[in-house]
Order: sequence, then structure tokens, then C-alpha cells
Amino acid sequence: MSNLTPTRRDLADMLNFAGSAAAAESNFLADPAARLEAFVKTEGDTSGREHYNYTYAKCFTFIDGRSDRHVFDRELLMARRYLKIDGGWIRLHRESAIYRDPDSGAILTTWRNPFLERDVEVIDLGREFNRKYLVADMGRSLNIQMSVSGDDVYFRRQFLVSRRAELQPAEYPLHGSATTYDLSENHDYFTSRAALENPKVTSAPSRGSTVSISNWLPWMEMGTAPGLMIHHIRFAKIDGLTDLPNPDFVPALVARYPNAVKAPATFAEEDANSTGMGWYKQIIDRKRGGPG
Amino acid sequence: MIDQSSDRRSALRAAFGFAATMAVGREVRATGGRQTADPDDQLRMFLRTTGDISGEQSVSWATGSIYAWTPGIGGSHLFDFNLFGVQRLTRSENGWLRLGRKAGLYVDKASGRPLTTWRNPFIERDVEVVHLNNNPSIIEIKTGDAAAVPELWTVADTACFIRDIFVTRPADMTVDDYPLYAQSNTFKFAELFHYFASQKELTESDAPSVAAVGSNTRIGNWLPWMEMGQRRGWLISQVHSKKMSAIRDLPRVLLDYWEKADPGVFQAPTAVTAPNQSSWSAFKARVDAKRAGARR
Repeated sequence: MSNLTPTRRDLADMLNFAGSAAAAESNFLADPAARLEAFVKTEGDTSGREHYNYTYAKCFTFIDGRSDRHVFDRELLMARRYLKIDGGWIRLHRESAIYRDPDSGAILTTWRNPFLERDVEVIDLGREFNRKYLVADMGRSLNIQMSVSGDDVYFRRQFLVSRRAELQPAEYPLHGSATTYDLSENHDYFTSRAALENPKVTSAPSRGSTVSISNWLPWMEMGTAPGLMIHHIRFAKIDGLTDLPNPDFVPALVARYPNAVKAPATFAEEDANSTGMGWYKQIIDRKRGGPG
Repeated sequence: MIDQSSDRRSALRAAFGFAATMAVGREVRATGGRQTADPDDQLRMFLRTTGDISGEQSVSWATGSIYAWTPGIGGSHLFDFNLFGVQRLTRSENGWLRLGRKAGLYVDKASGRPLTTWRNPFIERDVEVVHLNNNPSIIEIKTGDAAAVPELWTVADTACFIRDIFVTRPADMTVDDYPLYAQSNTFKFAELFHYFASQKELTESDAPSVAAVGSNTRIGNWLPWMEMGQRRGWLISQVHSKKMSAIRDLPRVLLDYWEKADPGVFQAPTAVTAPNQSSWSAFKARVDAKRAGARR
């Protein structure tokens, strides 16, 4: 396990799992810029081409002292492009999602909140989430860990967040669940070393797993009820929209967000500060006719 | 307060029963992928992904990190975790028995060396580390029960089996009797697994064991040896796993430690001979034995 700057321990791991001769030949194991490029190749496509990641989440409650519930599913499409810049990459990223009933698979527009025993309006996700990945940030704000075993290469990104919430309960008593926004999120990516080492391959096949543990989603209207949400998410890079298994998915996305299957075209510096909860706040403010 | 509707099957699955029954996930539905017509066929695919249906022992390895996380306060990376499991699948009257055991090491996050003591930053003192050694870990997996088959998600060549285990039940160690080690009188965790294999390999070959990698997240109470008492928060363990071809392919740190400490960990059980162990049941037995010794 390592940040992008290998430590003595990382090198020992690599030698242990990858074999010393192979490790010496593999640029991405040692060189930070090459490792970042390998990560971009895994998460996306270094050619600049638009591509898609598909994710499906089972969403659970997690409440201390009580049994837990599988409350809904979330089906999400990421449309992305990566652009090479001096010192790193820009990730142009749009994510759009619908929510489904966990038993029937039906697309939800309202959700019966079993704690409140009333229906709440579902807010489908549709936002840009652009980022800069800079070599200079690796091991610091851009924390990407890597390990290698045979042909299996594994990347991890881990986020532990506790910060002032955008939706303060005093101003948003239904939608704000705490004065802090708390998140533990882990992304595991699995890919092939042979693909990463092949200079002709700009997009390595990848699949993976994300677990996100956080406050309630604002649209659940849980107020400050104690508890957390767990999203158990599997994902895969897909060759095209024809790989998507549910025929009603893309039409539902496009009906809600006409640009859902298009990566954003441009990056603005302020994009780097956007947050998921900030996006929800904008939507809720718009519905309420103003902030607070 | 304990919710009395707490899922008893989940408690069994948490490896505290004699041979826990696996009944996880749901039959595949339209959540993204191919429906298998036959649940038993899907179960065989799951077993070929996570083990070896030929009856040979299989080995899996996992590594990752362990974090403390307290909503409202934040989180920190405490140490790393390196573990492995050996298992043998045999047919039982009701389906399959997974005869396994698991061993692991909590390792220093900087050096990767096994910890013997750990400086607990919350209580600012050293505590003795008790490494994972669950012997045995046995599950019975019933056939003919679609509800017992882990959910399968397929996209392009990716086949992903999903297991979500949620347990809320009375704790083995109560706060009154074990104030240093018990966080709460309720034992709670969620353990979430994804196992990835090639759909092509699963469907176009008859191999009893296919290559697989996976991901496992667990959120739950503090480990008892951390001596956290009733401090608020959650322990989060995040590891990724790989099916290995042999014991000798495990990382040297695991081989070196366990060859000395307990070489039996490298052999899966061949029969059901003892109740399942968990980190909590093993720790309780250890504390109880120490206390009994002190009373003599």
C-alpha cells in the first residue's frame, strides 16, 4: 500500500508481489508521473476520448443499536474525459443517477420513508464533478495508493471527511442531518498490469468497488435523526452505452438531464471546490425559492 | 436499545454459530446483468469464484487499512491489516460446507511490521495487540434456496458477486463485565463484500476455481484489544483481496509470522469439529482464561 511516492515499505511490497526484475522494469511502480498516468488509464482514458463508467449501489441505513435496512438502490452513469495538462490531468466528469426500489427495481420519483411513514420527493443526481489531478499533489491532497500482485494492479482512494455541513439543521431542519458533514469513502480499482504497461492501451479495463458511509441524503428528509447511510457500490468501465444492462436507464437519465451521457466540455478553476452537498443545497434552495 | 427484530440469520452468519448458515443477498433481479436461470448454477459460480469446488484447499489473501471514524469529529488511519483465509468446500446434506480458517496481522502503517503493542492515540498508552486467528470459520451454504444465493451483477466481462451482512445483537462482552473491551452492550457491524471474476471464464470453462479479486469493507465496534472502552465512534476496515494459487504466494510477512506462531493456520479444517471463532469470541475466551488463572 502506498501513496504515489513509494516508501521503503511499498518497494518491499512490490518486490514481494511483483518480483524484483519485473519491478525494476515497470516505470509506473516507481515514477510518480507514470503512476498517475497509470491511474488515469485505469479510471479513464489517457487519449482524451469520452468514455463511461457505470455504477450500481445498494443503499442501507446504519443506526447504532438498531437493525439496518436496504432502503433503495442507485444506478449511476459517469461520462468522462481526461485532458493532459502541464504537471498532471484534468478530469471532466459528469455523473447522473436515478434511484430504484430495492425489491421491484422500479425507478423512484418519490420514496416512502419508513421512518417518517410518508412519501418524500427523490432528488435524482445530475452534476458535474470536475477535478485536477496534479503530480505535485500526489501523496498529499491526491492520495492514491497502489499495490501489485502478479498481473493484478490495485489502486485505492480513501477519503475521511468531517467538515461544516452546507445544509445546517438550523436553516434546513428537514434536509440537514448534522452541523458537520461526515464521510468515509473508499474506492478500490482493479486492473491489469499488462494493460497498464502496454503503451498502445490508453484505457485499461477496470472494475471496482466503492463504499461510502455518510450522513443521510438530504432528500430523505431525515432531519437530525441519528444514523448513517451506507452505499455499497460496484462499478465497471464500459465500452459504450450498449453495455448497460437496464434498457430504461439511459432514457430515464436523459429525460431528467439531457446532457447525462456527455462529459463536460470545459473546466473552470472553481470546479475544484464543488461538493456533492453543495449541489444538493443549490437544488433545495431552488425548490424553496431561496437559501435558508 | 436493541431492536428485537434484529436479523437472527445475520447473527448466525457472523460466525458465532457452530456452522453458520449463509443466506445472503437476493436472487438476481434487473439490477444490471444476466439472470441465471438456476440458483444452484449461480451458487456454483459463486463458489468457483470464492473457492474451489473440486474439494482442494483454496487460499485467499487480503490487505488494507484500518481507520477510526467518529461522525462530528473525523477519522484517522490507525494501522494496516494483512490477512489470509484457507478453505475447503465439501458437499453436505443440505448443500455445501465451507470449512475454513482465517489468520491475519495488524501491521504498523509505516513499516509494515507486525505490531506486538500499539500506541493507542486516543488513550495515549500502549495496548497489547491480538492478531486475527479465527479457527474455525465454517459456513453451510444451502442449495435449492434462491434467497440464499449471493446476488450476481454482470456488466461486459465483469461478474461481481455481492454480499451484504448486517448484524445487530447483544454483545458477548457487556460493558459492566468488560469495561475496557466492550464498546457497548449491543454488538453491531456491517460487512460488505464484492468478488470479481471474468464472466467469460465462469460461463465458458468448467474450471472448479477461477481467478478472482475482491473488496471488503467492515464498519463496526472497536476491536476489543484496542481498550477503547465506551468511546464513541466506529472502526472501519477496508481491504482488497485476491485468490492465490498457493500458500507460498502469500506475502512473506504472513508466512514468517504464522510459521512460528501457529503453522496450523495454513491448513483448512477437514470437518466440523468446533464452534466458529471471531475476534470477539476469541478475545473473550482469552480474557476469561486470564481472569480464571488469576483467581486460582
